[in-house]
Amino acid sequence: MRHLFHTKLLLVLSLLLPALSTQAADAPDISGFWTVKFEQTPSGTELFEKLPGDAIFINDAGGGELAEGDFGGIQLTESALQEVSEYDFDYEFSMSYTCMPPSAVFYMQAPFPMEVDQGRDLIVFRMEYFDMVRVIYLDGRGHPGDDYPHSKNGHSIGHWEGDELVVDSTHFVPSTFMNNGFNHSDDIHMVERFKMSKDGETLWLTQVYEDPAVFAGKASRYMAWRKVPGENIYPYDCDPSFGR
Amino acid sequence: MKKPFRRVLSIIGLTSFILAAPTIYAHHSFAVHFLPEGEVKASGVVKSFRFANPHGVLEFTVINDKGEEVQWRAETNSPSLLRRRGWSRDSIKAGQEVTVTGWPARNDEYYMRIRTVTFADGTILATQAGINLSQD
Repeated sequence: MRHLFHTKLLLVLSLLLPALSTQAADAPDISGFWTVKFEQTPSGTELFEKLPGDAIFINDAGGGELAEGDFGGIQLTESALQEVSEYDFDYEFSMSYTCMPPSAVFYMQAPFPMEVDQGRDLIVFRMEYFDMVRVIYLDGRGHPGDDYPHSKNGHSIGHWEGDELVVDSTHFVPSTFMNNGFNHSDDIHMVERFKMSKDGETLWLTQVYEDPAVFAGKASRYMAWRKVPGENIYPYDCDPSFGR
Repeated sequence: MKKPFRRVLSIIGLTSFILAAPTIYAHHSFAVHFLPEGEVKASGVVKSFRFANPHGVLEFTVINDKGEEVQWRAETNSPSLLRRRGWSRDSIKAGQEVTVTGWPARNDEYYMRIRTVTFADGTILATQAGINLSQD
């Protein structure tokens, strides 16, 4: 009887252990605390080579922002331009807006640190900015149907291409695209490439977006972070009383 | 020269400006609400200091050239970031004399984004990493 119990226990453990293992054997481990790296010149040029040639590069990442009416070279659709013309920037100082987080389309490039927890089937990005938590499924599943709930974090599936993590995201709710008076739509599609430097000190990211309801063609951004061992993100705990 | 490399050079040229810039990011649009190239300076007595995300807020009373009291409000960048630069909710207390420098608001004469806060004893608090305090 005892022998049968041990056999069953071993069988259960043998099924569970792969799922509990920390990550795929050949994938880099990007776990840890990462803070924004303000670079004089971008160091992640290997990822630039993989940007689509027709993607407009938006130069507002990491704390930079474009002036009112400057859309970084992307061509807005008529409806998006109409949205800009009706946008009230003073609303951004209201109590109802103060703690409204952006989507992953925008918050990944905010100049706040993040912690990454990496497993074999999941990678979790815990962002300090607005306490956002983003889950990347690596278990081979596809995106759900259109009726699946849309959110600020979206639905993200990923896979490793050599040492690069490729993430495909959909199911976002409309949210600011560049803090400049218009939102991306709930149909925006984002493809990201994460790559860690060989010394493990730097993490690079490029994002490519398509959102035909809002802008023509493709757009892209670039970010870089440096690893800081032993640090942790703080709770953001947004307080709406900042608003007027 | 291959086309992709020209594009990379172009990206480098653009990005070097942005990623080298100080962190003036806000939950609201910074560029729309403040003058990125502007600077304002005001001295007065602290009325209150709020230290919570998304922005800390310093309220202080200034006596203007006419001898009138003017109420200033000045916002910080995110307290989460400032905590790593030595700030806390007790960094500024009501009743303290301060000189505040920052980026002026476009549409409010008495509102700014804080760059530095200087106390009566000469101690300086900076909101940005890498600010050369001797120039402020």
